[in-house]
Amino acid sequence: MFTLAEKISAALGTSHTFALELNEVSTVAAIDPASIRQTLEDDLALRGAKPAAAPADAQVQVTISQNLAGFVLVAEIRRQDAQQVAVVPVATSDELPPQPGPEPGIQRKIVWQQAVPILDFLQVSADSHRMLLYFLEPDRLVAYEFDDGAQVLRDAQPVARRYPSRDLRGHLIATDAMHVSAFLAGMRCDASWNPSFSVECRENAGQQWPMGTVSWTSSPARNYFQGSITFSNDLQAKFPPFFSSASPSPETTGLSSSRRIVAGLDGQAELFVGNAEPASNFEGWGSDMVSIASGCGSAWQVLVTGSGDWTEKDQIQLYEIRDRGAAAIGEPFELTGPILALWAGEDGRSARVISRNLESGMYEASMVSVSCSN
Amino acid sequence: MKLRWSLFLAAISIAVLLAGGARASRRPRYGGALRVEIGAVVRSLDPAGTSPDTEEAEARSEIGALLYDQRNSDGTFAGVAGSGAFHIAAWESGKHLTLAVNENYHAGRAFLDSIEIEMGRSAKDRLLDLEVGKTDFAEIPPEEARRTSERGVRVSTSKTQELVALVFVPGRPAAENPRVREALGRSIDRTAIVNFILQKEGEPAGGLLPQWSNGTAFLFSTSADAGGAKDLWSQIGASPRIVLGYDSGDSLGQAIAERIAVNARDAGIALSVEPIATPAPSRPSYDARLVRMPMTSSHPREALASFQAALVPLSGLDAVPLSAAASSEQIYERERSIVSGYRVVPLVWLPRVYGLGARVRDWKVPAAGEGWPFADVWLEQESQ
Amino acid sequence: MTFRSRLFWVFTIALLLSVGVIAAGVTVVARRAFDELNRQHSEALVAQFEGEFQRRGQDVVHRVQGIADAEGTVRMAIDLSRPKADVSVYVNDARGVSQSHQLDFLDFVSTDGAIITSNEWPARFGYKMDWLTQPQDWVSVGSFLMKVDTQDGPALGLMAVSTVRVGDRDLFILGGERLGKEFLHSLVLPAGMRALLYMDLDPNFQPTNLVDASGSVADGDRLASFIEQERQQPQERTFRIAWTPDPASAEAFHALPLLGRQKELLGVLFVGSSQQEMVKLEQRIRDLALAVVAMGLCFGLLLSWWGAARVTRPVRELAEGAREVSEGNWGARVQVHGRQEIGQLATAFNRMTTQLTEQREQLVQAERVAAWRELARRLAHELKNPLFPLQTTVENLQRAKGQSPGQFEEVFKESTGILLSEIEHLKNIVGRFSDFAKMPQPELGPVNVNEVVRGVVKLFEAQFSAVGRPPISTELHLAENLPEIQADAALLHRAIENLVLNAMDAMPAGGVLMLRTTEQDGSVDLEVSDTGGGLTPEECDRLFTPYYTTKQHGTGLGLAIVQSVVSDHGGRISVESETGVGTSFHLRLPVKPHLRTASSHPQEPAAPVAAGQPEPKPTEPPAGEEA
Repeated sequence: MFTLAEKISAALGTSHTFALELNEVSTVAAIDPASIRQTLEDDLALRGAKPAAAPADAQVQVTISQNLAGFVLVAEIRRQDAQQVAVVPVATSDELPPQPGPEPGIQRKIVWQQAVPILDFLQVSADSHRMLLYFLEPDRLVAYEFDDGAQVLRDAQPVARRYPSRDLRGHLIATDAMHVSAFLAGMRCDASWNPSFSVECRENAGQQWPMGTVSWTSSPARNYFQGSITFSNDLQAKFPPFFSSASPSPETTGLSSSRRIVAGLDGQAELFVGNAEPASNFEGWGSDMVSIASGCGSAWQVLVTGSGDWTEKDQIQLYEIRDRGAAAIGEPFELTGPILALWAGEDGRSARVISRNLESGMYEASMVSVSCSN
Repeated sequence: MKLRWSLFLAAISIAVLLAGGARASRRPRYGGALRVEIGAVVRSLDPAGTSPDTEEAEARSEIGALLYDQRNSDGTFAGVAGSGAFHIAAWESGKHLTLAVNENYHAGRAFLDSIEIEMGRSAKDRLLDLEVGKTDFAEIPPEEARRTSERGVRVSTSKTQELVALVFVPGRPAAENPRVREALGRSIDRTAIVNFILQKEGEPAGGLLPQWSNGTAFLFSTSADAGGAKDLWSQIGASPRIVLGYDSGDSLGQAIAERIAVNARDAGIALSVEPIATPAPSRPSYDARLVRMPMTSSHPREALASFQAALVPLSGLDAVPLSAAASSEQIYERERSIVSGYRVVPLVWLPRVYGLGARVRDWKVPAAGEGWPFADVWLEQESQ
Repeated sequence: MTFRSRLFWVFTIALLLSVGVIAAGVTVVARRAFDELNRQHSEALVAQFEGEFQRRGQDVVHRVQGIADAEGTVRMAIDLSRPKADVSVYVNDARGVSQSHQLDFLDFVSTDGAIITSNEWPARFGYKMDWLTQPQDWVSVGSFLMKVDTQDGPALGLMAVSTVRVGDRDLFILGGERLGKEFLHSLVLPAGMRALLYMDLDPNFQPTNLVDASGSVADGDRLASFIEQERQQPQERTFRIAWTPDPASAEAFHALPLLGRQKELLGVLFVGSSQQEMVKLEQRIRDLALAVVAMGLCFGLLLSWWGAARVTRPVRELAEGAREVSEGNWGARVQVHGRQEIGQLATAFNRMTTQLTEQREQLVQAERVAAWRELARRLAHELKNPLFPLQTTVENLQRAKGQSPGQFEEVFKESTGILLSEIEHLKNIVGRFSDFAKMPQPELGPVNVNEVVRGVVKLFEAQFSAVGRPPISTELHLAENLPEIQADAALLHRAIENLVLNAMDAMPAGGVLMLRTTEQDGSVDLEVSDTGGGLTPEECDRLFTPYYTTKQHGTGLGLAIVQSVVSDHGGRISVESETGVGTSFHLRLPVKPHLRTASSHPQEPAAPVAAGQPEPKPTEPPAGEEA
């Protein structure tokens, strides 16, 4: 703003009076025109230039515009027959206001946002007032420490990738607050604080990704899992290759974990009930799903992403699986962009959502839970 | 009758989409062959080759972006053909090109197994094939975007990144008369061109760079001044007859040129239009011509530099390069200096419009100067 | 002109006239028939055009109405009736609709008159056609001609308007067909006829706006003046144009003005009818006539030759014979051809010449007898005079013989003197007769008649005023610049002398002697007039007969000599006389005489020389002739 005022006053020269007009041609309401005007007038006043009511010796028209780099302020200074133009870029804040979710039903809380892609994140409480936040990025594992909400530490370590992938998937599991493991692209990277933050990566020979009580066998160079699910007793169940899968919690639902819904590569979401053949399929389901214990009843509930692709806004819909059918519960939760990853929360009652804001391009890490109010 | 059927078809298409005729999925799926149709006839895939046919040159550049791993700042490619996400599997010059995926591409294997590119398809055929699902991807003329969308075809529109301008030919008597240039420039109704001819797909252009690039496009007037044009023209003694040329294969250029002729007539300017053969003659018989200049970069400085380079041989203007650190203001000043003499009269900015088949997913509109992002595109599996 | 030529010309002229009249009559009839046929064809073509025009117009109305009734148009109208309707969606619709309905022109116009979409000028969207929004029942208007603005320039269209009304908003559909060479192509034209259409689309005449079924018309600017006439006052007209100097290139036109809705002239239909066939027919008639004339001429020639051979030759022979007779060959005969009139005429001619010859011989014989009688009488008279004294003298001598010698000597001397004198007298008489018989041939040379006259007058000047006789005055009227004649001056002098002597003898009581010379038709006329007693007609007839005289004395050879001289000079002599008034002799002498040879002279006996008359020149008698 200072620069603009400097340029305007230089262009005004010996004009005794000038009229100031403010316009806006940008499409994003990220700048408050009133505050711009006030700031500009203050800066001009510092230079002895005060806008006056018409008629005036000169006309100054300032337009809030937007270009590739961001916002610009364009001033047209007209004095008699002469006209000058000054263009000054304007910096804007990276912060965006949090988006309130629909209530009741699915609730979302944005935990973090950044410009670098996020594959997975973990929010782990070290103690009552210390929290550790881990972010798995394509090339590194980043750790933040918050003490009573204030960031006190940040560290990042590179992670290795065995295979390149265009749809890189990564998953974090926490052994405890100080030990997390990252699984991505054929590698397993274990992070610890010993005492500093360090990460050791090795090839994930079996390509097993721990998913709660089971493991999914990944296709390291791909974005899907091979379909083989290994139980804790090393028994394996074979399913068609899938992007993601969900099974009910026996403790919560009382259902056998042999029931499983898989989001197949063909775009179909199929319910398997202990057999090799699917019992049913569900229309309109996206490729990511997690089982969630909402606390609203004991039915098997699944959070599912929407259909489409990553150029479109996504949504999360809660379904209740009854017998062999799925019923949508409540309204879908709309996000500002595609959901890139959906992982079950450690507690089973929430889900970790990585999405991308299509407007800002920022990657957002959110925790999604379900409230039972209607 | 046509309106009714188009709506009916559109409704069906939407219903099919909604019914999940294309499988619902979110995460990219590996596999499939993307069917692409282009209008250009590409006879050589040598990225260093030159062609008087701008359409062919652009297509070659798009294909190059898929074949080569690196692109230089000047738009040329570095490395070996096939070092990119795809390599050539089959090539029938001027007719058909098949690109196969490179499994071990360092940035990750593309989701598609292959890309089939059919060449020399007219706009009408491309639209039809999109409509019936015979192709997955085709660029369509901006003015067809709305109609195509009404027919149920997915349409993706970029930011305005191609400039259509009227350039006076240096040395022609009419072109050397500043009043003639200004009168014609003032008579042009850009808004009508955008609203009617372009079907609101585009923006009136008063300067060389679109608003989103440098943020100063609004400083250039785009409104027509038929009265002022008429007054100017009446001051010219022996009123010349102006010939406006347009590329012979460019139907949009023809429509714009004919509309300019109508506007000029209102101002009392005798203007006729004629097609220009490819390559353009060394001694043109036209006084001005329409040119289409795609932005080679989103960055305003680079875009303006490329416009300047293109305009120098056409308009005779000097091409003093902008400094690498030129500010928005300096860029604006350079723009102003180019258009103030009316040797170059910006008309409209056009977006690039893409028609997408129902199964195409994760299509992201490329920015100015960027090629088709087919490496990130995947195909939804069709219902059985 | 000979009879043959006259016959030939008469026949030829008769033939020419008859053939000409017939040819002209046929040509006129043929032209009228052609004109009538052309008129009928033109009317039929105009009627056909008007019928086709009407049919097309109805068809255009029907098609435009069909477009108005179409679902798409109704939806467009509904869509456009909404507030802030987006008309740009329809900007390209006209082309497809016009193609499907086969219309050359199609415009969809909004309720405010702005063009929504146009087929013939797609770039004109947004421009106004205010005339459409005027209150008008387009159904009753039907189809009409209109000047249509297209991007290639103005054109002529057969148009119709339909309206779709939604609420208080109208959607106008203006559609039509181009009127041009394609329209003309649809007309069925008889041979030799063509239709031209001039589209009055520019302020001035433009040759390119004149088309026929195949396109532009050559030499179209020849119709410019007629088109201008239509512009001044549109009405049906007929006229004729000769495209080249060749009459066969002529073409008769019927002009039909084509008016627009406001009765303004938008075009002119020309129905052209080639005159080539008619001209060819005329030419053919003319050629035929010429051929007939040529044949007729040949026939006439043959006929005339034959006719002449049969008719004119005998006539010519007759004419030749008559000419010979006129020249003195009274024994001329002609050949008798046939027994028709000409033959009879020839026979009669021969008979006549025979009779003439006989009669002439008789006459000659009689005249010869009469001349001999006259000569004998004159000779007897002349001789009697000297003979009587001779006889008396001899008788005296006889008587004197008986007288004394001295008396006898005296008587002998006197008597011998008288005898010698009378013998001399007899010798003179004989000499004069001999001279007349031996009139010399003239020796021609240039002679001035006026000088000869003056010479003669001078010769007799003394006698004119001689003592003892009443005076004779002379009057000379001699023409100036009288041409010289080829004559014998001496003979001429002698002839004029004789005439003067005669005149003097005719005026014993004095009088006036007038001599006049004039030139007349290449001849010199000499008039010698006196104021004597004059002659009777009978005397005039016999005046030039040798030895005929009215005088008491004289041989009567004077005028015969004059006649002989005049005749020898190829001239003529005539006399006019009135008793109590006087006598005039007229001599006509050619400048170059055509002398008759001695053989052509009639055989005339020599006349005795009268006493007191000048002696004729002694000449050798012509061969075969005797005095």
